[in-house]
Amino acid sequence: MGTHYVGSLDAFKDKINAQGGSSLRYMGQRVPNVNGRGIVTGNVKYTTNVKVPGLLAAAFKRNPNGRAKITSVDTSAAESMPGVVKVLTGKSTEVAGKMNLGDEPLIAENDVTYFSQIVAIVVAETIEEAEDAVDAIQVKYEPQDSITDVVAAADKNPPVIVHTPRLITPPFEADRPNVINCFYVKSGDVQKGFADADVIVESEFDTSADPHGYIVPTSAVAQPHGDGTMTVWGDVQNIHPVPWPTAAGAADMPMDKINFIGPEICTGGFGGKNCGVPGVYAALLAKVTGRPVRVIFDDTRLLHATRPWCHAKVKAGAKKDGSFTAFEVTFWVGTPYVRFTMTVMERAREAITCTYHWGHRDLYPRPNVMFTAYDTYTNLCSTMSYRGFGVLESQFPHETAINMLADKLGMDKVAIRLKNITKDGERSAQNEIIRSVGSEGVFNKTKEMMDSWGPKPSVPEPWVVGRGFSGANKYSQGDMVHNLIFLKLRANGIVDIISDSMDIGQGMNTVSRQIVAEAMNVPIENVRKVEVNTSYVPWTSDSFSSSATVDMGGAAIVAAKNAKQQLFDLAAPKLGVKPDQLETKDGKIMVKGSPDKAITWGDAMTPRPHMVISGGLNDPVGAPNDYDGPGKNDYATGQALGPYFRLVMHMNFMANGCEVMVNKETGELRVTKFIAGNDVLPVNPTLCEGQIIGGGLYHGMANGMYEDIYIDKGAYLSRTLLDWKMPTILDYPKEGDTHSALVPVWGEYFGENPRIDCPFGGKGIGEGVDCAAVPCLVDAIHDATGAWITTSPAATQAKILKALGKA
Amino acid sequence: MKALAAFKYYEATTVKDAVSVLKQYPGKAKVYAGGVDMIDWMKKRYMPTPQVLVNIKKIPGLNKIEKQSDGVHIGPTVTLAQLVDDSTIPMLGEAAKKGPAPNLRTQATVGGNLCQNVWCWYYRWPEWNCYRKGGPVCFAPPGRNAFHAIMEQKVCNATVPGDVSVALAALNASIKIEGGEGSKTVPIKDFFIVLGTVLKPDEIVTDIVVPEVPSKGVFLKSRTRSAIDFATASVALATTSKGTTVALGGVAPIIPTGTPDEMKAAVDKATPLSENKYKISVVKSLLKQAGA
Repeated sequence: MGTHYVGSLDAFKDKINAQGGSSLRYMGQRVPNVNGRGIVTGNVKYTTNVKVPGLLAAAFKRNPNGRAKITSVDTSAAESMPGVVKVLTGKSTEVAGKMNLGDEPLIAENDVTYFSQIVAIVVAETIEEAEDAVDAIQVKYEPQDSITDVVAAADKNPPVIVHTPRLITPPFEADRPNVINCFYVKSGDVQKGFADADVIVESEFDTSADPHGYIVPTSAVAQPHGDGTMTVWGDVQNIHPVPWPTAAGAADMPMDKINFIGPEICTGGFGGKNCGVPGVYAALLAKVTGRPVRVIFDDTRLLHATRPWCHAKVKAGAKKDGSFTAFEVTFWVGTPYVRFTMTVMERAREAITCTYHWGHRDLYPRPNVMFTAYDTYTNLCSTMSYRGFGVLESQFPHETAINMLADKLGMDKVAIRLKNITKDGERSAQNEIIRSVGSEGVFNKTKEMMDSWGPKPSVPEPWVVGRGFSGANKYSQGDMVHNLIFLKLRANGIVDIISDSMDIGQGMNTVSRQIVAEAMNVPIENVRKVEVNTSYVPWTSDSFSSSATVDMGGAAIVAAKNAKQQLFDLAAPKLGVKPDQLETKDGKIMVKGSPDKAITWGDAMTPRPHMVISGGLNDPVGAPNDYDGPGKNDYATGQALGPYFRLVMHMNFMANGCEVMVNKETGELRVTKFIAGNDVLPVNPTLCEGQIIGGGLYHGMANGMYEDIYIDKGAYLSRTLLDWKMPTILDYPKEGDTHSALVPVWGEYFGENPRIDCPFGGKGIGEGVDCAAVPCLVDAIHDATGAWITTSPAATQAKILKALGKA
Repeated sequence: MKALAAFKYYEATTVKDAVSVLKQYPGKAKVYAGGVDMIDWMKKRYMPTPQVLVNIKKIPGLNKIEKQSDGVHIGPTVTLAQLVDDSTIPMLGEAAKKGPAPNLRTQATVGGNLCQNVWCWYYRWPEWNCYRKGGPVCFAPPGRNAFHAIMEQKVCNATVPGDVSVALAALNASIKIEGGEGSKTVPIKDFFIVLGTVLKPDEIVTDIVVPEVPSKGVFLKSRTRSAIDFATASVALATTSKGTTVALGGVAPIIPTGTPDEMKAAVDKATPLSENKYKISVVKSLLKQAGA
């Protein structure tokens, strides 16, 4: 194994105990993943394992063009094929007028906007029969020009207007017919900043659309019960915010007639399973046929949702000593329907404004930042949230611009960053108060570990070696409104967690047990977690935005406090003391200092066999609290407004260092060493390391390596894993050459009024672990070859050789 | 995943038997051996499902590697895994190793390597009616062509996918073919034609003969990913008593073969498309590394 540095947590013990902890009994401990054995033996309840009698299968006829008009859809042959139960087209009354996620028809009727858009659906007894019937549907199209250039699409006179009539008009720049919305930051005086600069870099960057790359396709099963109710099982990252209401909407049913059930573990999400789109179709088709239906987006696992395509134009200035003077960036992002692209640009702002002061504090009263973003309709592939809205899209140009400045100034890449980092309590260019900043510790630790590599290895010509560095940040948006958990305490000292916090491979099933075991001071074996099911779990947290640990943990700490209070209130008269003289351990309640004076939870709660306690950051409902947020910002300037001065929940700061080998003649690239540093007080260091190495290194680097998408006239050509080149294990460093560094920092919410601690000081790291990888990789390629590559992915043979003037 | 569409399956016991079935269903029967390529394409409907599959794996004697007086004989149903394990001509094992992943090597055959379909997206995706499929034009030159041919393009820009085939070309192998009109032997350089191979619908490759074990044999392959990928470019070089032959893979719809100087000159005259000029640098690097 490589080095896995974990800073000491001892300094935080008292603060953790003050929140109700048990002296690091489980907090910060390397508890094995509770689903580990189940996963490796295939004994986990996945959505694809759901079987109900009489299950039908659905298959989808999809648009093979870019933008086109549908001139005819002939389903007659399909309808008489064996096993076919139902065929739906955009003209079917069952889908008339129905939209998914705001502006996308469930089935296209007259026009198709993007490649792979659904134009017909077949439900049949078997998936094979459904697929064969789909092949028999004849659709005639009149292909039209597609617009795939996100910059041209945002123009005032674009070559193609994607939707006529216009679907959405933004409050500003309404004269750009494809623009959905615009986002801005206007802080300080950018022109003065550039006038003051000794060095300026200007560059343009492209971040390609990219599929999430989960191996298990997203799926759902819907079962109607004949009494107006329905159960939907969905392979989703969360059940409450989107999958449940969208399934209900598609089936024309009240939400409370639908019981939505999540998997024991969502099989890889990375944002792609946020919406549970198969659940929408399963619910619709179950309603239409009156029978259970399974939907698997198998044929389109690389197409059904991608990160939106993004172009960025960047200008960055600095003084000779490395002090930053100004930063200006314009983003263009493209999508056929809105989905979550507005959030992409909204969140890109935090990525640009939080890590560094663009406008050094010694020189300027406020950072000098100008940020403009256009969210734009295009005929690119369908989009979805992707592991940090807007983070890679913005961190790649942002951190690369810093590396370009360092290169021009001949400065150390870490030194220039440390000179300009935002400090705890300072206001960002969005006027947001920044807390829990671990940048300095993480940058220094990562550099120290890189320095231990020693001199670069000598490699045979034409290979060359390069090393790169990048910082980054990743917001956690969190859900600061819905936050409730139930703990069921059993007489025998067992606690059941009743919560919707979903394990999506990040280890939430383990982390939630650890937090509750720490808070209730019980053996972790005695903590269990119930199925995630809308019929009885409350809305605690969504497994998105790296927020589940903080959201779920925050609720759990409150619930545990309430639970202990109730136990002590019940036990006090039986033990003849006051409640505040009591403590609990391993299902017993004892008098502090007299461990023999004790009764069990069962003794306390008798004759009840169990009790259910609720708790959460917003519980009791309607009580005044300080968690409501995020706060508001001024639309035209992006400035955070009081009283919270908080636009996101908290932030993870990170650094990556890597070593690569590049073949200057063949353009081949191998990543040979990798370090990832994160500022986090880990609930479970082993799970964090797994996220960083398994989840971060592989996923993040893959974004920057070879995963190019090829489109011709709006049609996607790279549809298989042989065309869309996800790297394999042999393209990565050997096991001993991958390293992680967890630099513990007490987690705290951004903003103030009042200041808010994260539960046991923990922060989420799930999405943050991979967003420094691409700028780090690009920096290493530059170090090796002298060429800056400004596209992500960056390292296809064609791109490397082109950058070297050989193509 | 679609189910296989219905087809008839015939297990041939002799070459003659196989040829007679192929002849019985003119153009509608296909030879089946490893099935790696064919079954995948049939499931995904990249190609129309043949009426009959003629399995030739049960025909005795076709799965052997044997040294005889006229050279090394390699049967068409010899698997790539056998090639990897066989030390007679190490460069063939090297090419097999750089081809498919280990599990597929146990299925994939040498005959299949010679006859497999090209991996061009325009050819695979049904909605692009390209020249190779009988349409009017090749879509690669005005389209997306980073992985296409840089030389010898005429009407099609897809490249020959098999790595072992490239090594066999450098070894000046000859291909023995039997069919409805009798048997013939074709030098490998004439086996590949722009739109496929010289095989007629009722013909089968029955033997591959490498005339001389090379004193020097090299197979080099450049690809994007370390573990799996078709060749961006590959170079095979074999030196025998008759001189040195170089074959180029991943760069043309055929396998360009010639002396080192001829091949270097051919690369200098390459006609890359809009996105694949980089392949020239790649193939030149491999030629240099091979000592051509």
